[in-house]
Amino acid sequence: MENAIEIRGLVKEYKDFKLDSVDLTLPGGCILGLIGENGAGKSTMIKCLLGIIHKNQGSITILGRDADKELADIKEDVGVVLDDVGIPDTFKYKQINSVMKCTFRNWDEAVFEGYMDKFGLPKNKKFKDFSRGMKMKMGIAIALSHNAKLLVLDEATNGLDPVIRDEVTDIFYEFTRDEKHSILISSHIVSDLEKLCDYISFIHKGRVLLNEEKDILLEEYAILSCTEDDLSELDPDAIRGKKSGKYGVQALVKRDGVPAGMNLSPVTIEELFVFMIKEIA
Amino acid sequence: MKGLLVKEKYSICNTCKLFFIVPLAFYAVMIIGTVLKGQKLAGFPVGMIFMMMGLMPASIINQEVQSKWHIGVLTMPYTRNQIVSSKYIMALIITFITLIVTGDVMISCLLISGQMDSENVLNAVKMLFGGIGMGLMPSIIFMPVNFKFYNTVGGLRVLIGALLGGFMGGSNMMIMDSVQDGGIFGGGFVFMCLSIVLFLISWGVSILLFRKKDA
Repeated sequence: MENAIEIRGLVKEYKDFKLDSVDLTLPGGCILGLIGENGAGKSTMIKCLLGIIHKNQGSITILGRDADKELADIKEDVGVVLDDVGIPDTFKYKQINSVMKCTFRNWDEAVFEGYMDKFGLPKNKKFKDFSRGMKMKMGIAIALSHNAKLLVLDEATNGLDPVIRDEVTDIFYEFTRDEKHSILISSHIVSDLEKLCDYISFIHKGRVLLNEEKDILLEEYAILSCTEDDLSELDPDAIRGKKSGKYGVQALVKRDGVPAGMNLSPVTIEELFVFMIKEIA
Repeated sequence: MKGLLVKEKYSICNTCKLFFIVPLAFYAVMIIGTVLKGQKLAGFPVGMIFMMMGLMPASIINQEVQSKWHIGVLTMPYTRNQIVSSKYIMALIITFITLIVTGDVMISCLLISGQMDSENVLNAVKMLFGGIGMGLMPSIIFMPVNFKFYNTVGGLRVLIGALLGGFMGGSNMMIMDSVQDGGIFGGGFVFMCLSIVLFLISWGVSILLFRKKDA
């Protein structure tokens, strides 16, 4: 199956920040989670992908089509939820529906109304009077109502309470049950990504540190609890990060670089991320 | 493109209600002046009506930036050319509607006040030519400024806007008076043609500016 997103050598330069030769692949039918601290470049990358900002270099292919040539047409098949939803403040449900109906060829009013009801969104309130959570839900409802093949979600679950976040996560999961559907999602809430994603990408200071299948990452790495002396005997290449405490050391290690019998415990994506970033810092 | 025009229509209806008060007030003045007091039609109110109506598409860009629509729209299946063009097309539609309504009001005033003769009709036509020019003026001036500073609220854009707005308001009286006297390029006709050419140039400039712009 073709890749949903292929980014090659993407460069975007600002005075004080550079997205530096980013390569990223989202295989079709999969969910890729972008993880990075604030200012790491996640949103910049997503904005370049969608043509909201101009890239300096690199090539982007979305759903097998060249984004430089066909971006507007490609967006018919892309549902987007950004940190700011971007609906005019004074609009109500009916007006939003009318605009979207004339915007997307495959706009499905019934599906949109279904999500309005499911998310408990008021139809007679102006968008500016929505809470942050309601605004995000409106963005998600719009993104899911035009038969998109790819969802691009930038901090889309921010501002949602845990119950709705769980519900939304299930909706995203359901979305990718169709093998033609893919999701690119960035979030600070790593636990959501861990639950949802097939692939994980770590971004740090404008560079992609790692782009790997989640299950492989979780299989490949583990947390080792031991003493400083035990750790010093290990192959340094097997150690990807460490944290010293009163009662010993915790280290992120590659399982195949650690002798049998040592005290290894499974790693979470959040631990993996924190250890790697701290090691670099 | 249709979605953008529908959005413009709703934005104008939702946020520009105050703009409609000015034309209504001037229509009232026009009717009272001609029908009740027997005065001749004046150019100043006609220019102001067109200018206020023409301001609407440019003025809603501020609201768009505040609500982040200017970013949201770039995630939709529209080209940057279409995003810019929707504003200019809306300005043309508004100017056309204003022309029809204002023309009707002027003719009604002439008819009711018994001033319907060739001189007054010619005078009204000159004023409408001048009005069309004034109606396109806000788009000619403000749109490129707005697209140059598209992702900012306040600051330099407001300062430039205020200066240019003052200039336009002041020039309205001069231009419309001159139009009635057969001045400002042949009783308004050449002024209108020139405005249309400038409008098209402004449209092209805005497209070029917005193509390069990061939102």
